[in-house]
Amino acid sequence: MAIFRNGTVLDHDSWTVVAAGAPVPAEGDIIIALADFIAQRDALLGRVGPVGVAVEAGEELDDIVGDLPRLVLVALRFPKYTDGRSYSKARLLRERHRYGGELRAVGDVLHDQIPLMLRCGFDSLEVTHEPTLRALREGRVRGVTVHYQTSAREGREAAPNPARRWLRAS
Amino acid sequence: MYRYDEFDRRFVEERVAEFSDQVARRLSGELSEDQFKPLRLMNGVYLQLHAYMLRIAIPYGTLSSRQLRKLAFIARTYDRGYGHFTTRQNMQLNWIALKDVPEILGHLADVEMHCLQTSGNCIRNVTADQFSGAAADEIADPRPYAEILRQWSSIHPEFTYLPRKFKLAVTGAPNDRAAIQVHDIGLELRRGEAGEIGFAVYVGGGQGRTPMVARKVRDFLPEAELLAYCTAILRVYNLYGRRDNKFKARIKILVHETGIEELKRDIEAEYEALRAENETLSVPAEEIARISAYFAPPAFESLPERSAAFETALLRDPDFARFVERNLVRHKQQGYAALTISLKPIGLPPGDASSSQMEAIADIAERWSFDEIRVSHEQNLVLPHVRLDDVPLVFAELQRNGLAESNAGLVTDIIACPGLDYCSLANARSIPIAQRISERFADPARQREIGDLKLKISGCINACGHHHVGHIGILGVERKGEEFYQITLGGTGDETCSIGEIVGKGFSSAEIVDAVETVIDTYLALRTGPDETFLQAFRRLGEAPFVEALYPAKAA
Amino acid sequence: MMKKPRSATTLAVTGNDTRNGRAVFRTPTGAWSQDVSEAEVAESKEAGENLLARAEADARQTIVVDPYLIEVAAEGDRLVPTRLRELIRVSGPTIVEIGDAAALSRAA
Repeated sequence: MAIFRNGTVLDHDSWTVVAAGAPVPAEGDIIIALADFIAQRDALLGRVGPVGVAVEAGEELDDIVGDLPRLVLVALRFPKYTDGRSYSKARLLRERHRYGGELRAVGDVLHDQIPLMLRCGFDSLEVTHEPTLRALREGRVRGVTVHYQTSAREGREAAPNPARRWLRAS
Repeated sequence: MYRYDEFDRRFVEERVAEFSDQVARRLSGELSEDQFKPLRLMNGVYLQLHAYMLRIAIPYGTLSSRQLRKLAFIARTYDRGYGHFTTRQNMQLNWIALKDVPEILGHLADVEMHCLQTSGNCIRNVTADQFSGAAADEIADPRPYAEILRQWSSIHPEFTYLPRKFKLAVTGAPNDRAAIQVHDIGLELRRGEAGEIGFAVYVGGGQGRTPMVARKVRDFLPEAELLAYCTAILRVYNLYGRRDNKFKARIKILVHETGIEELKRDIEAEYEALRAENETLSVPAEEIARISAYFAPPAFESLPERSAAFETALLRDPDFARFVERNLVRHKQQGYAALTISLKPIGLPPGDASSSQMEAIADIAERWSFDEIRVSHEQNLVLPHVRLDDVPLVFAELQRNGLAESNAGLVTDIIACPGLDYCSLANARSIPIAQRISERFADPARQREIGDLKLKISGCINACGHHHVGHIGILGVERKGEEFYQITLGGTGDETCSIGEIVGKGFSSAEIVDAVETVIDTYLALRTGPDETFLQAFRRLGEAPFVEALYPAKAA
Repeated sequence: MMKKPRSATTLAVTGNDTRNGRAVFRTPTGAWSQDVSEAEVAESKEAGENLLARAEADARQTIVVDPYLIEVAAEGDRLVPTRLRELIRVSGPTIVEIGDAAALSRAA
């Protein structure tokens, strides 16, 4: 497993994933399941170390929306790469709720979906698939770089033709 | 017609490169079939009974002669010299080798075509009325809106892995020839009180194993709001559509299970929020005008209403008169007509055209129809703008190429899916049934006596042959290794959309043609007169007399 | 005298060639052939499962796609699939194809 962040594959990650229902370590960066976060919200937000929340594909964002400014990381799961719910949730976090922390795609993260994930606002990816990691390391994950829609990357994509207002190039 | 600019060209070129890379990774073993399948489907590549099938997008069914010639070339070079036009206005080839697909995509890109999103759980090719820009009853040309939707939906970052496929159709006329009420989103162009353009929006129609007629969610959506509203619908669907059961994953099930009023509230709330946060979702009038300019009417001549050449031919040639009666559609421009080229010759596979026929049609269109061809959802081709003076010449040319069957809208103008002759999902054959029915009713006088009748055949419950909306629908099933065929009656995909009712137990392959004849004879015997169509008679009579005729023992 | 069990079936394994998509059958040498009569046959459920396992290994090697077992019957020295679907995969569409003659004969 490795983390792809800001264009680089990192073999070490500061975040520890706390198993569902397991005790929360006092120190360190932790990612905690949504249900556990809700149950221990006050204690977690009073904790010294950074807290991230992992949201499953079928879970709603409602319970974390108010706490987003204090969440350093949100992880959205792709249980199968064909399950596209987390794309919509990523956009909602970035564009509606103005979430500015790290937005991580976890689960079945593969080569050909990565360009879409990045456009929907993910800025880190947890990757286990070896050929995908290789392609990321070699800079082969490009996708199509011109787009017919704006995305969660407004400001970081060029608008090549002002007459066609929604065209973008990454 | 829409023409690519530099941006559009780059998009398609990069897409060819992306898919070529995916094919290479598949062939090298880096991608497993499970990982590759959704990627190939997104590019219209299926694996069928005999080989890979490639479905080529024909956005809103509009083609130039140059594009049609390219399709003919591809069919001849990489396939078996024919193509199959589909109910979603696309064309598919049945014998494609995967290794050839990148090269084929390159040829398509040369003529501004692609295969993007012709399958897969994404937003599919947007369809429209085949007589767009020509029909006399048209309020506005739907194609500019279909093109705006095509662009917006192309590799949409959020909506490429939906619960299930998602189909949009647009009609520009109150007489719906695009079957919008059996689409996930159906759009009907309308004029508002001040003459402004907008849409009635329908959601949740579809066929398959749970056929449903779409529900109206907006009576009038201003044209500028098209993308914001569609984005809202898609987002609600993407988040809440079922993913636990592929047979319950279409938006129609979400509509059914959530209830239309609640879903409408969700869509409206999402729409309001989207409007507030993303101004690029509002379509400026200048952009609509810019796209519409590509679809401006061709340089029509100012012609008299009547044509001497046309009327002389009508008097002299009964074959021509029959062709005109069925295959000619009134044009909005005086002195012109739109012509249907039937791809339903008696006894041959519905919707197929050979490469040489495609080339002949391309030549005809270039010479006599402003270089334009349309594909209809009824699996025919259309010459949209022909001078009345030229219709006799076009007819002669069509005759020479075996393309002058005068059966548009008649019982032999059958929609049929590829069925078990090609399709890996099929349970029974469709095409041979279509062929035998068309042979049974081949007599032109008999067909004319029966009048307007839409007969549609599917080889499995996925209903690609639209049997649910056939006046007479036929569904192929397998029972103990044998092919059986169920009959449904009273369906229609037009503005009075209804789903056909199953009349009773299925018929064997040997019995089905007789059964269809029984249904038709019952109609002929009971209709109030030749003016009462099959559908009208069925709606008046109900299924009882047809059931009695089909299953006499049960009635006794 | 032993009676042949009524449900005795002869199985072969089929799939589609990954590169060109054509229907193919696994032969006793482990190669894949477009001719069903060259297929390796299995006369028992266990032998069939064994055959399928070897085919699935080939699928993992990207040689074929989605292998599965089909029932075949011997007719003289030929093998013929028993189900209509498989028969059509072997012998092509049951209808007249309207393609131009040259293309039809070349790509058969």
